Amino acid sequence: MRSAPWLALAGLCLALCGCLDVEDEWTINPDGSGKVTHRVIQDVKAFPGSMKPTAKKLASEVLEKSLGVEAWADVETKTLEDGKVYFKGTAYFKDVTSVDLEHAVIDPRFKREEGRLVVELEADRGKAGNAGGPKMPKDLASQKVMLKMLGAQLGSMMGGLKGVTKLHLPGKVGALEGFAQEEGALVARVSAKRFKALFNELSQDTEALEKADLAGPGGKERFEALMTQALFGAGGGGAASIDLSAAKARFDYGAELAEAKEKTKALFEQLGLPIPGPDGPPLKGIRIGSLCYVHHQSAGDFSMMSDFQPHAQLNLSADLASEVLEVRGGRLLRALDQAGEPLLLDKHSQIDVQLRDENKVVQLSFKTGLPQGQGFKELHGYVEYLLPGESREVDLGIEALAAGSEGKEYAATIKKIRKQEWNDTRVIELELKGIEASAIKGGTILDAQDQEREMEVDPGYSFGGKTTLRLTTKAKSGDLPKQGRILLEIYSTRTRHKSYFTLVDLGRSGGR
Amino acid sequence: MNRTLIALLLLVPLLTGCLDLEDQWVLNPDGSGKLIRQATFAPMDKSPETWAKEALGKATGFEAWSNFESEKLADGRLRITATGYFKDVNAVNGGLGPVPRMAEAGEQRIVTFEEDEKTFRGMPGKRGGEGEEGEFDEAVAKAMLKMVRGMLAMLEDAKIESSLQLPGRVSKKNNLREKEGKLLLRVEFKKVLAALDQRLKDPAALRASKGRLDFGSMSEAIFGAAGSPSATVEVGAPSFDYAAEVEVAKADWAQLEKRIQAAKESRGLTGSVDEGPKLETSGAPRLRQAEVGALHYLHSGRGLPMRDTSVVIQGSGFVPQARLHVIASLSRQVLEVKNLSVSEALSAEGKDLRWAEAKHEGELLSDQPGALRLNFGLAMPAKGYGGLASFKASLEVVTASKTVEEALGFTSLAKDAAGAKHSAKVKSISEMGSGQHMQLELVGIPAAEIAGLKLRKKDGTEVELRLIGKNVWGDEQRASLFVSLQEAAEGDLILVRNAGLETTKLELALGPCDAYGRTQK
Repeated sequence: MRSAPWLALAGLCLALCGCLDVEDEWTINPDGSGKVTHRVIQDVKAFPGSMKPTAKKLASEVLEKSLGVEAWADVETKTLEDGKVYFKGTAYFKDVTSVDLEHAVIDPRFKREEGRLVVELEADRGKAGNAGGPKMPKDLASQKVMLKMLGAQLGSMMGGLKGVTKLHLPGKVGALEGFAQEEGALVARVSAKRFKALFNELSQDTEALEKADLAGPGGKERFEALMTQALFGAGGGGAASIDLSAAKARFDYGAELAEAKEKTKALFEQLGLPIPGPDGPPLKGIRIGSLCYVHHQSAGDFSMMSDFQPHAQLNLSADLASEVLEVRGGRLLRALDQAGEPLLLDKHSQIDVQLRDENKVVQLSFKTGLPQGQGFKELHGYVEYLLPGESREVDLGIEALAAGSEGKEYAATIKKIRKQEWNDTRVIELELKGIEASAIKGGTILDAQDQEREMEVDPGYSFGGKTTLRLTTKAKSGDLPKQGRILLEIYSTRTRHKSYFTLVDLGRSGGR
Repeated sequence: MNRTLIALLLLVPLLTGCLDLEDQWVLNPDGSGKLIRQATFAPMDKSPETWAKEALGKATGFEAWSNFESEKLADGRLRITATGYFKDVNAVNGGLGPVPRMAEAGEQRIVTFEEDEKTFRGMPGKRGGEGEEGEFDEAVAKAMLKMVRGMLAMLEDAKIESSLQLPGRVSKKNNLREKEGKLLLRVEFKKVLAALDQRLKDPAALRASKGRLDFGSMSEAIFGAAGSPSATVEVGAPSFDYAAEVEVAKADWAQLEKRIQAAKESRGLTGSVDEGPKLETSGAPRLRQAEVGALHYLHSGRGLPMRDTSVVIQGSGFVPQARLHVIASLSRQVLEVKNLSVSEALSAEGKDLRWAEAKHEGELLSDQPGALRLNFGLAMPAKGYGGLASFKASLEVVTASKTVEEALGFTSLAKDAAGAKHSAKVKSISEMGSGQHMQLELVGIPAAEIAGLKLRKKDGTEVELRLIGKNVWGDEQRASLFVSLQEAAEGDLILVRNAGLETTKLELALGPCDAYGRTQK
């Protein structure tokens, strides 16, 4: 049983102010295909006004960031009477081992082992990366104080965290640990409310503390195991092994998937999200920029993560098959050293992706564990990006070309108009809401006589729900007319794609 | 005062790790006095001196501290006692716990416990705290208070007691208990938590307090009566001879200050929790330890690791290379590291990996006193490279034997004001929370010589300013200093310069390491 990365939960819950209530119901076929109904209720009271997540934002996060999902169906998203935001939807997946749901509280990990399907539970560690337990002081008096404080803090801040996972599995359940069986399903529940009592109890038990030796070698792991126990209750987590030899399909995956796929496009369009598209061609021309082996925290990057572990950091660049609108990060799926040992630091090995050279080149940066022997045998992952679809022209409804002028579409506001002396141009700084920068293809200005003024549109940037855009006139084309309209060419559809890469036999210094 | 008194009582100890605090304030009619402080901590693997820094070092307005003692209690906790002397109680910030303030009213003195703004800044509803301005959001306020309640719950067993010994007969008191000739302020945490719970359940009270930690209106629930803890005293004889005691204390303080300072600078490579071997404060610096922090292989000038961007040419001038990052700890803190040079870099295959054009760079680790990060450039090894068989390098470090002070000659400290020396100029002043940030420019002072800044006020008193950033560049050594100010400054600035600079050459040798930079035994 893996230990729960409790700090990940702390990180998650501090971000969400501790109030996430999630229920997942999984139905899995013997071939690994299946569906999961993911229900998330998020309490957003503690978020300040402009940062308050909406039901649409919650839905966007779940739909866009969940991995391994082929289609979504029966999506319901709303704001409840008490102000909480709600998402419920059913995700269809071809391979349960590659599913990773966004906003999961319990993260079941599936793997196939010689005719069996094995599932292990752990709390989702996505938000806090590789954070581990705290470093415990050596003396027991200090340990007692720290445990008491941690219990009170976690119990208070994460008290609202709840998770239920139900598993409808395809075969005969063999070895079972930590799950309850209810109406033919395996059920696990977690609650952060248990922290306080457990830590208080431990802080008063000198004998147990001495035995646990939390400040000694392996103390962090023992502490994490305690946290697991606090989260999942006695038994600490859950594991089950299912015999697939005589298993039957629980439902007709192909038929339900086809129906769901039909609805998926409309669903994404309705929410204004890029539509999931087919995988793009693999990345080409991969070039190693740098390969660093980092052994000491003070020699690593400027990450604030306190729980340093030695790692390798790779920077590489690669060519995309075509110009893209935007990159949406990436993920490292497999990393092996020459001895075949896995090097992924965790399930959510993120790849930081930057666009270069007119949006045709990507620069990737990621971390792995330190290899042994002769270097890397394989690095495999993908980057995700958006491609343009259809576009349409939108008149923003601005009439006066002056600072403060407001339009009717996208809450458009001219924030500023300035003259650039060095090239004698005029720059309009425009602020829009409800549209991402990459959805803007171009724009133009029409004067009162509908004469077009040639403009260059800087794609701008999006932050905090606002998009800032700059429109610049041609050099020496004079002042802007006082009256006029701003028309933007908007992509009404954008599609989301993945391109995979595989690097093999990368030597110790990054040469191949 | 009552607005935040209890919040201060509770939160400051929480933030500093103090479990029990007993402060005895002894006041004279003229506002001078002493504070006998007893603070009990969970040791958390820290030394008594480190805790003394917490318990005493954060206090301001004291002329001296004396009678410092530490004791390990039977339950493993650490108790520290000390006595602090102050000329004016109204200018004191305790750093922990509440502080009394004294007002004159003829032959009476009115003493009231007040919040300590200096240590309490940034909490909900405080000066500089978020949520002070803007629309009141009940849900946000409630969530914030809930979080604060969660933090307070950690202190269930902590105790805070402050007592007052006043110079005369007490004619009036509120929310203070009399015991053995002293007035006692005691906080029972259960009552505070109960009062806070009540506030969270009462939307009208929450709205009225605008979500602030307004414990003033909870006084009745916490202490039994409404209003601030206060007392009126009919002036009598001084409680003690301030001048005589402070003179003795000053001699004590010089020693204690050194011990605290040494504790502050004693952390070694092990980081913020563990305390490494203590650093020396004099003598030539020696290399205590050196280890490979990272080994970088740079194949392209694009997307360089951040640690290398300042020393490696990017773009078309880039040359593929390896970079060895060494983390070194010294026997004492130094001011500057320079002139790095590699004398031997042999690969396991016997190849010389030195490279004539290689640039090397060293820097001080600001969060680890006495530690350096050294970034050496090596030739890119050939395929099949098996690691470093030997590596030898040298570096120079600069130390100072004393500091000297030099007035910069400002008559005003407004934006664009100029001083008389070193082309000193106030480049900008910006509001930052409840205080200000000042950017000061100086020309012609080497970075290593800038030790700090002081403000000499118009009344001649001096206060040390917090230097939050220092950047010196170019041949003319143009320095930008970023200074944090508690309030708008008036007077002149004093530059504290390191003097008696000495340069020491250090030799560094690393044992064999593999191609990943791991030490081979």
